Amino acid sequence: MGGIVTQLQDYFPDASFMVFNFREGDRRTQISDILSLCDMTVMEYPRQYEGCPLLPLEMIHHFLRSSESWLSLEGQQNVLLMHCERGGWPVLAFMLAGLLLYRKQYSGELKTLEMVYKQAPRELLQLLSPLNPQPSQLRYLQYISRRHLGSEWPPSETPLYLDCLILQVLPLFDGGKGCRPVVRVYGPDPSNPANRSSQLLFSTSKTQKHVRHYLQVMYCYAIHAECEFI
Amino acid sequence: MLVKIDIPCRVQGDVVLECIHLSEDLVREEMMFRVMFHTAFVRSNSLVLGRDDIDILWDTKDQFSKNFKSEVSYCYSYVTVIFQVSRQ
Repeated sequence: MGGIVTQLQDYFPDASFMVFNFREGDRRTQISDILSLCDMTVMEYPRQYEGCPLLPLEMIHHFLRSSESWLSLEGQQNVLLMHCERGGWPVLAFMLAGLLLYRKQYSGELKTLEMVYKQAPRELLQLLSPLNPQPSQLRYLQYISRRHLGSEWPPSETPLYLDCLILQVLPLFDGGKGCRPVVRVYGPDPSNPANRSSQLLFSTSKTQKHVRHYLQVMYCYAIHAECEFI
Repeated sequence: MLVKIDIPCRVQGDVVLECIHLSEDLVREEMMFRVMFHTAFVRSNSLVLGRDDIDILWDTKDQFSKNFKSEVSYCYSYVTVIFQVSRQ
């Protein structure tokens, strides 16, 4: 790391550096200590939110605002570096795509995200994230792109009451037979505004009584008898 | 056939919803899909998501289109999350 920093400082002798590090755990990392010693400002972010390689909108907003103001300071040669620790590549790619859209250096959420992801082997993304995170990441990139349409951004956190989840087609698990779905919901607890950190808000009880087994064969019953399924 | 799963809870801000398949022993879990969204951008009282709007396993589409085309071409075609907007 020392070598890279020296190279950068040789290449940009008059520049100031700010580093965004997507860290692995909760603690301040060794890399931020090293970079701070090299006169670099380091800001650290987590690398996931409840297992999803995305960050809460407030944090994204903080990142975008900090980056934008750093890069647009007049009369200075400011350089922004992004670094991730093990497992942080999916969130780094998302944040970089968000910044490029925010600064209007690129347009089109999907095109921008794919362009960033191409900077590393696709296998790396698949290795780090068991689920393909792009659909949720694209949703958040759209939130960023559409910020001019609303007056307030990030918007105030509207409280909602979740009622039910409806699957219009039965997903097939158990070797194609059907599925036994359990749902969990995470987020900040609306009844405790002082604590905005995420927690488990709901989980289907894992008992025989609560977890239903939906079988593919039930299709015909459902069609003819319109039984308990909606 | 529609599968309806009750998820009564209040949410505000950034929400992660995950749907898991539970094996017969009611212990082993297999992730079906995950969705992250922000409540401020939910405009109506439901959020309708197609297969391309939910995070699913990488190989689901490829593997299934090769081997289980007829069965899985409609897998996850739509997921609807119904909300009630609470008046506070």
